[in-house]
Amino acid sequence: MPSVLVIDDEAEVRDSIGQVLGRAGFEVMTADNGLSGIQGFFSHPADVVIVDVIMPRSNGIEVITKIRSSYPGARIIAITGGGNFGPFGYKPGTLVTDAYLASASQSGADAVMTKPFHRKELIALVRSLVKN
Amino acid sequence: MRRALNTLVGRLAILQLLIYALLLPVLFYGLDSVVRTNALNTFTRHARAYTSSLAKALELGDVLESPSRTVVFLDGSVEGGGCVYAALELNGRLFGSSVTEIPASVQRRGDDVEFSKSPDGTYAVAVPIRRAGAVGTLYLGFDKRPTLEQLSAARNQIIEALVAYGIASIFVAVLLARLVSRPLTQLQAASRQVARGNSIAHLGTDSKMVEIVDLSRDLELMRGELVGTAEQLRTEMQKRQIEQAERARLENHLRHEQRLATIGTFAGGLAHEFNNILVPMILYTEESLDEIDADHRARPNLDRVLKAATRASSVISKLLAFSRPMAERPPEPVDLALVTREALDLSQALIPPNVELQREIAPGTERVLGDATLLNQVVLNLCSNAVQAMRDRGGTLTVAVLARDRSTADTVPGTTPRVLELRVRDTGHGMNPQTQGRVFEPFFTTREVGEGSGLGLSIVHGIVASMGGTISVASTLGRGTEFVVELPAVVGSTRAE
Repeated sequence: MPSVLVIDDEAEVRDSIGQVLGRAGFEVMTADNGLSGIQGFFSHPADVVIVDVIMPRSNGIEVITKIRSSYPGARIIAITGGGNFGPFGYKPGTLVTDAYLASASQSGADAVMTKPFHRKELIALVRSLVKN
Repeated sequence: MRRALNTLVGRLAILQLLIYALLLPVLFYGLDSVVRTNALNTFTRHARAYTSSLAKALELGDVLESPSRTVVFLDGSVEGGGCVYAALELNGRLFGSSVTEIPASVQRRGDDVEFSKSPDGTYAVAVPIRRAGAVGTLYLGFDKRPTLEQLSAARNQIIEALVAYGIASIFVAVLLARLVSRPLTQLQAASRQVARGNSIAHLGTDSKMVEIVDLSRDLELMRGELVGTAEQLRTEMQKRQIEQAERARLENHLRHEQRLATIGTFAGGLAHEFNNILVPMILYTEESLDEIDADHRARPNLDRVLKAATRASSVISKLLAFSRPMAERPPEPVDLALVTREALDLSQALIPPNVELQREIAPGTERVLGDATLLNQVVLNLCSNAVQAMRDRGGTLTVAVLARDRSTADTVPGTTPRVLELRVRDTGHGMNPQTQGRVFEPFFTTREVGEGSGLGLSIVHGIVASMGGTISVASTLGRGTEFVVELPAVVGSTRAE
């Protein structure tokens, strides 16, 4: 059973993503901050990592970089709520923007999703990353 | 009364009266006494001299030999001296003139010596006579009354003269005082005019007195300066007021901008929060929809929840446009005319048939510094508002782009003194002044619930401000509204679109 690690400081976000992926057939692990997320991954590498890049007390980008540097083959999805805290600019009228995609490759994530997203999108993306 | 006494004339009159009150009695008594002494002395001297010479004559002649001759002599004495009586006592016998009465007390009375010794109208002189064995006294009485009458007349004359002098001199003093006080009053009246604000009233008099002429000339100079200073002050005050009004306006504007910026940052954080909340909302609802059968009763409602959540997400995307729309994208020269034409082409389909679109887009080489997409959104948003306003009755939507010189003296550093203007005008229902003042506030809307979020214009404002421009609105209730966006112009070429 493929596994997913969800790193997000918001409990509701973690739990809802966990339920969706759990019912879609994934083993779900969660962490509520960057440090425990990294530790969790190193002790138990997941097939896909979903990490929130805008967290008040942890640096999501660093998490991606650290994981990538130790596990170059890791599959990482960056999720973000937008706003002006992150490194991404925002283009009104679209949910996924060129800017995000551009920044995604900068940060080392394989894909970027902006909150909120649809259940089907989430499952499809995770599945596509597991396949590769 | 008090005031009258304090005038120059009044004071002078009182002063003179006081002085004369002291002086004139002194003068009077002095003069009177001199005249009196003189007159009395003369009188007594004459009387005594006369009597003495008669006594001498008696001593030398032989009148005394015969009593009848003595009486004749005495008669002659009365006549010659104008006497009241003449009497001779000789060796105990008393002879008197026959033409007058001899007072009984003549011997007893003797010589008055002093004019005023006796209160009756007679001055008695007694001179001893000695003649060959005979001893006697000659008594003559002189009438004091004429002298006294003369003295009295003289006294009256003195009084009259002094009074006349006093009155005349007071009169002259008053006249002289008026020579000074009248021009002073003229100057004072003119000064009051000046003080009241009538700055053209001249300070002058028709007096020829040197001091008055000098005074009025210098006062006139002073007036000229005062008027000039007052004018200067007035101009300064007006300028100050205008500056203050302008400063207040700028401060207000700045505060408004700052508030919007704060709101922008706040909006960004808020949007982030909301997006986090929407994740479980959408995911759990979709999970539930996946759980239930296609014909489950709950399905329609869950669909509606999802639809609402999706709409909420779209609203939040628009909100995010507030937070640093330009920060991550470097501004580039944009052809505002081109962007506007493209936006109008795109929105052609959204303009209802009862609205006529008029374009007044002037071509030109001037550009604005900004993001083409955001400018696109500005045009679309303004047009959307205009169309909304004309929804009921139709009308004309006029979109104009033109370049002109900057209207105020300030220039934005790094830009030319030219601006590009985007004007969007509609003939819709317009806005009242209260609404006009709040139209750029986030979430402010006059529309019904569900028709609009009230963010459109606030986003437009944020975009325009981030490009260093200004947006203003002018509206008349019932007639229409015009939005004017002013952006600094730069010279440059457009990046290939």
